[in-house]
Amino acid sequence: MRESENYKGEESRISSVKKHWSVYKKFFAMYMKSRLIYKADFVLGFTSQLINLIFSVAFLSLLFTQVESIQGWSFNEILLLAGFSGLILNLHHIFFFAPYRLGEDYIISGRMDRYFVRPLNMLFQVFARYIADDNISKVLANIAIVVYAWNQLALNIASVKIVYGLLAIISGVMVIGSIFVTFGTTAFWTGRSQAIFWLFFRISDFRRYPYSIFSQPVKIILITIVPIAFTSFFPTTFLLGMPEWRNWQIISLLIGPVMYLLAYQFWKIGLSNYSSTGS
Amino acid sequence: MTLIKAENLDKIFKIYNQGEGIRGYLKSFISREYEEIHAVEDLDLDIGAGEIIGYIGANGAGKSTTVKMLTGILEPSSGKIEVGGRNPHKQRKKNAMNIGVVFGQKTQLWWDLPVKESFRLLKEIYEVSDEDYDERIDEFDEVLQLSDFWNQPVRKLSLGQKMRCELAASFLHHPKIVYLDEPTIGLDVAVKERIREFIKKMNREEDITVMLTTHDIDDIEDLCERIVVLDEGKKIYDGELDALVNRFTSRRMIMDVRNGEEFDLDLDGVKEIEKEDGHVEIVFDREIISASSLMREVLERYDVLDFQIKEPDIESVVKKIYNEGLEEE
Amino acid sequence: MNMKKYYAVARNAFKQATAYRLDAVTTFLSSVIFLTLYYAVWSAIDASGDIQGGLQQVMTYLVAGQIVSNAAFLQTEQFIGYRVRKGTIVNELKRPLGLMSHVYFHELGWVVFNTLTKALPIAALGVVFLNIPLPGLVNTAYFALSTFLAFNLVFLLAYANSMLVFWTKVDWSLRMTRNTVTNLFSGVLFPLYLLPAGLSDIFNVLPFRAMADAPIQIFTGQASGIQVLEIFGLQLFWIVIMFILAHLMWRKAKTRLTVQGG
Repeated sequence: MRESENYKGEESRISSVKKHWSVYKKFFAMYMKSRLIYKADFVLGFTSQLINLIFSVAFLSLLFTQVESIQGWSFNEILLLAGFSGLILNLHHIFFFAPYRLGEDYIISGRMDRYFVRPLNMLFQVFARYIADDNISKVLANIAIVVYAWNQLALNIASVKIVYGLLAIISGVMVIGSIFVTFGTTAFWTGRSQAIFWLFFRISDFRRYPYSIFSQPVKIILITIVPIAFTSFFPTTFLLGMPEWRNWQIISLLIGPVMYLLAYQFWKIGLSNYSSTGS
Repeated sequence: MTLIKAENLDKIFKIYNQGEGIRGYLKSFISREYEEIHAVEDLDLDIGAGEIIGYIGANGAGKSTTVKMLTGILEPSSGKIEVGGRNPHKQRKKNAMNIGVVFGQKTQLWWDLPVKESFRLLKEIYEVSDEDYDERIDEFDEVLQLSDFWNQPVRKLSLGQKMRCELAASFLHHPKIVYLDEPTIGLDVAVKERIREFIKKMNREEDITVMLTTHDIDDIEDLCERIVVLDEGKKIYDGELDALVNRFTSRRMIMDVRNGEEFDLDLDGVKEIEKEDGHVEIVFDREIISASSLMREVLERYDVLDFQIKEPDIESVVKKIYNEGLEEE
Repeated sequence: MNMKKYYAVARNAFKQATAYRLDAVTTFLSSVIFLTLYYAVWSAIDASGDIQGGLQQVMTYLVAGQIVSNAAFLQTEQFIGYRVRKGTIVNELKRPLGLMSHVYFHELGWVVFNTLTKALPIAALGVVFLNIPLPGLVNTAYFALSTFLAFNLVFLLAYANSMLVFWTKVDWSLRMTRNTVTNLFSGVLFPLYLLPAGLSDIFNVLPFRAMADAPIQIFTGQASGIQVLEIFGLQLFWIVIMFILAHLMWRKAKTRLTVQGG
């Protein structure tokens, strides 16, 4: 005996993309609401990240008390590099940081099981649950740094650079996202995810300096295992009008989607491993 | 009409022995040492719409593994499984639209925010229309009285209040099947009754199939007409509760008797007598002889210092059934 | 006797630390990566201009900085923050040792562990790969003593900072801020002897110099003879100041704790 007239049909009625988007908006709003309940923590997180950024800019300035340019890169050029790469990195962190805690927070706690019984994409649910809002201050500050350095360098605001910049940001976020998803997925086998990320956090510091100063083995790491050269150096050279890196600049736009697709396949393998071993 | 169908369902787990420390961590990438556990073995299920099934068994018997396969979390090692005409693992999202799950103590609600926020999120996820949603919440409120704490953050709720919310959340979207894992554990009698009322109402009015995993005998007696018993991964009973209870009708009367070593009783209905150190345990069939009649007989013959009547609990029922097989007298 | 209890706490911490083998390796490797990065950066600077004192001196300074920071730098905020969140901090108050002493000896256990598993290997690495000159026997003893004093100073600051945990839940934020500030002003990140005159005056007024730059100068030989005594004096001076600060913070936190009811 059916009760209500508007009994829902058996299938979802709206397109998957639309649904995930509207659900995400709700998740985001709820997360921010719950964060702002603890105002002191929010402010402290916001501030400490800002201090962190100010100090790294101060450090760069100190380096340049010793010398006028580092391998041909002036202070403002390095500032642009640090700002642009930081923008990409922290933009990623705000929305897609969750895989860092995949082992501890999702698998071991049993939260993963809950996600299976919801009519939503699994990885989506992992992302939606955690917003690293303390990076918001860093994103804003990095934008300010980019704008400042841009002005100091008297670069033109060519539309091709704007378009490239935006595409590079999207691709860059996907590159870092693919690293996070890949490292996090290992938790399906090892039970913990946080340990393996230290490698990423230490190496991400390399993004602030020109790729060309590094030795060959380091360069290789920066374009393979932790390919952050594509999210920092190469796109910045385009913005600075350095044509000698042209091929790398183009690859930087394409590599994000490619890497992310691969990472997603790996994620699916991890997921099916979970479904057969029950963690 | 069959809603849940499982045939020859098998689930085998490989337990890898993971070492400790760095070596163990690195080894987990290459190590192959494991042992096999047959969590579910050759399980057949045929559950129709509108049934309330009690799914019982000792811990580790395979209940949660079965539910995880039916809800799409785990993939069976072999066998066929169909829920609402779909394979729950392969068509996970579509299946998910039509089921509700309560995972025991693990909450699906947002800790720091008012209850209503969690429900609004679920409304979004399950595409519940605005009018339907309002109607539903009012309807739930009648039985579960959610309005008492609708605006309170979940972390401030008592266990009973939380469980009422969990239940409502799992029924919100008119699911066809709801899986409940220990929904009444740790709750006081009044809340338990309200929860059972709610489940019965949903089942009655909307033909919602309920699969209930529980250790609580009152839950089973009040809600389930049919129970399925699992032991060590195998189904050992599948049928009506009444039949199960009637089949296993033995009760025990435990007494301290003076001169207990010589205790003997030859009466119809007395199945077994166990003696030790003055303790006497009589296993009897209450269909044939009532407890009071039995007691009268004993008191006529012996000096009883203390006594107790033991009802069979689920665990002993299961053990008993398994040891004696499905055929009894 | 109290010393026995203190020793037990330290030994306990040391034992606990040995369970975190994976973390020990990753922390050590973090130093390696740090040195790799800044070797490249300073080499590039050296190629573009003249560094006062030369590249080798910079690298010696940075290696010494890694030795000191691995041995002496702490994560006290986490230790206290965890106990405040769990509520077990109340137990600590009742202990006969008192909270500060208890935490101090706990951290001391970790210092021994860190010295053995991180600081010493980094020194070895520096000698092998970067040709770092080691100080003589006497100066090594002075260096060890100065590093120990640095630990005390870092502890007091970290402890004072940890008291803020009673007002907020986010201990990692507090620790990160302290680390960021300390790393820059202490010389771990940037060799202080390279500072232009105006800036070095500011750095000299702050306590952080005494946390790393002080022992580093002994290691590199930039300070010798009576200057070593001056360094000890500076460190002791800041220890006294930090001790007072830590106690004030502790007193404030205690009142907050009793007001809240634990």
